Amino acid sequence: MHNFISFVLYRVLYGVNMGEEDLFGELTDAVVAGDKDRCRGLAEQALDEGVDPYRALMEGCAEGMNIMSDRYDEGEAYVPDILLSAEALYEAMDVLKPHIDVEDTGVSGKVLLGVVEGDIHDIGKNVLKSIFDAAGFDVIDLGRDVRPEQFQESIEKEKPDILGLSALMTTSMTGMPKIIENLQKAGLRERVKVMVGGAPISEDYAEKIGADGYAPNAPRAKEIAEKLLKQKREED
Amino acid sequence: MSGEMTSMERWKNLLEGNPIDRVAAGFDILGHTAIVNGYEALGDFYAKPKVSIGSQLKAKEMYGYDQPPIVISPGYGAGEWGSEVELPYRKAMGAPSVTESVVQNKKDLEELEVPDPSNAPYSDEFYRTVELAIEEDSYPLVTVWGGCVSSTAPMIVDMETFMKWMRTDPDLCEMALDKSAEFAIKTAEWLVDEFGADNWIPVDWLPTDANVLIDSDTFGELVVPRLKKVHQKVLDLGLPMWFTHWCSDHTQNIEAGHIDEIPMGDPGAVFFGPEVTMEEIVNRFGDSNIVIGNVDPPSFQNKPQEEVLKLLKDNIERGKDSPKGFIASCGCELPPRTPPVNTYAIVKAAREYGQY
Repeated sequence: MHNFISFVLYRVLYGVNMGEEDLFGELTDAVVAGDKDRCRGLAEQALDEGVDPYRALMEGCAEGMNIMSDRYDEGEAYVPDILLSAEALYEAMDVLKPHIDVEDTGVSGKVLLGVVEGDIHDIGKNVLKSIFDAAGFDVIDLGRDVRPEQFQESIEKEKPDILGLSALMTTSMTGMPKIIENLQKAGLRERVKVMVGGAPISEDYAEKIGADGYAPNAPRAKEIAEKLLKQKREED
Repeated sequence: MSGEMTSMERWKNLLEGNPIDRVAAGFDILGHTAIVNGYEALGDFYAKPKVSIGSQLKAKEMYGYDQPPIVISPGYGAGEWGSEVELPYRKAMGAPSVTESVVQNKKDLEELEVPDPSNAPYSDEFYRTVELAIEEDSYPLVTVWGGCVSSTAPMIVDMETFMKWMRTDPDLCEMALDKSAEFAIKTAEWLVDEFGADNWIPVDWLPTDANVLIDSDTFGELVVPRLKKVHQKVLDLGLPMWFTHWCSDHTQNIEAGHIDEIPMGDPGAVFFGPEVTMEEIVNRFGDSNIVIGNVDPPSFQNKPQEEVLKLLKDNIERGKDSPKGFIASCGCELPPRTPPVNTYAIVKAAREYGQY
């Protein structure tokens, strides 16, 4: 019902043929505002008007998430704001994604994410997932409290470019080197770039355990992931 | 001052505002005590009163630090409400985990009744742990947790739901925080009825109230009025002071003046994460609070003793002359798998660099 109302409202307010750029701007604003009903309505409108759904997603919704990511990094937005923006983003993605031709997406890379075993603190990882999704990565989220073997099995199956490991506790962070060691033993280490993050993790620690990258927060993680992906492409 | 005080003499004198021989040593040493007592995982430490208090007293004696036992309910402030809690019987776990919060939506919250702390789930174990610590004359720190985000999400309400409500339905956050505050006050009343008010100290922990998660305006509007109420009501019961761990980065809450508003007793004890400078802590809170040290926690687990000692020396030198006293410490719970030489470094540094 909400979706229908917002759809009708937007038709009344903006007319039938809102320009593409205006529509993208509205989607951006709706993500920034964390307004999921408005996002869904605009995404449906984009489809109705024959707008390229991939462009609506990337030039509209993803831009909103980029703005939120920058604001979070600068201390102008907080976790509640990011969570609402992510919810709005996913609302639009639900509508748009089934209509996106995978070949048109030019998806930059595949990322496997998870919080390591013994740790259920997944807010940071969830924020990161939404930022990665918005950046066009193909994200596979293993969730929280993930056993080392699960990471290994998923790497074999999904063949990601990047493995992102998160930990918030000093007890669980010790699982990170074990995961990297397992990958080495299984001959999988060269196939995937490993990046780590979370409150007790530092750049020194990342280096010590043989990770390829470290990010102090979710917005910075996107930059690191893009850098690692570029590196991987050059190596491949 | 001549001669070294006993640990209990030093602790009691510190809390009473009397002169002591040197800075006190050690705070928030919990799961580590089980590990040095030979437990591979921390489940029994949180579940069994004798293991919890026994491990803490033996480790305290072995290392020579001053922190008395800390009591946390095995329900972790969550199981009491009906939330599902996994105790840390797996080696990778560092503390109990809330696996499913009892409140997932508005209806759950509206129907949720504040439990009676004396017969809520886990109340027997909690009671026996407090009783045992008091029987040992250890002057324990007992967790009384309410009125803040950390005692509410995910303890009662699912974390992401609560965070979103902060923007969409702040009245629901207020309802949840009010219930959590009521439970804390009832818990303190029950404990005072059972054990009196002169042989234990309340302590609370605020990790999910930090500014890495929420802004200081939200903290000021939602949490401060309720946390003030909980702290004041508990002090009114005759308890002398609060120990409060402002875990992680509370810089914006400090700058906004919110933390100054929380009644702490005379003195109270403030324990900030390493994100806040010791100078800021001493200048802002030292006149009315014992200041607890805040050396970077992962360093204790990952660095050699020489480096840990350097960090402790620096921290002690910055904090030892704080007017109401100083406790040398790691800036959060000591990582349970800290090498014992690095735990001992806290005592060694207090002796070498913290003499008055």
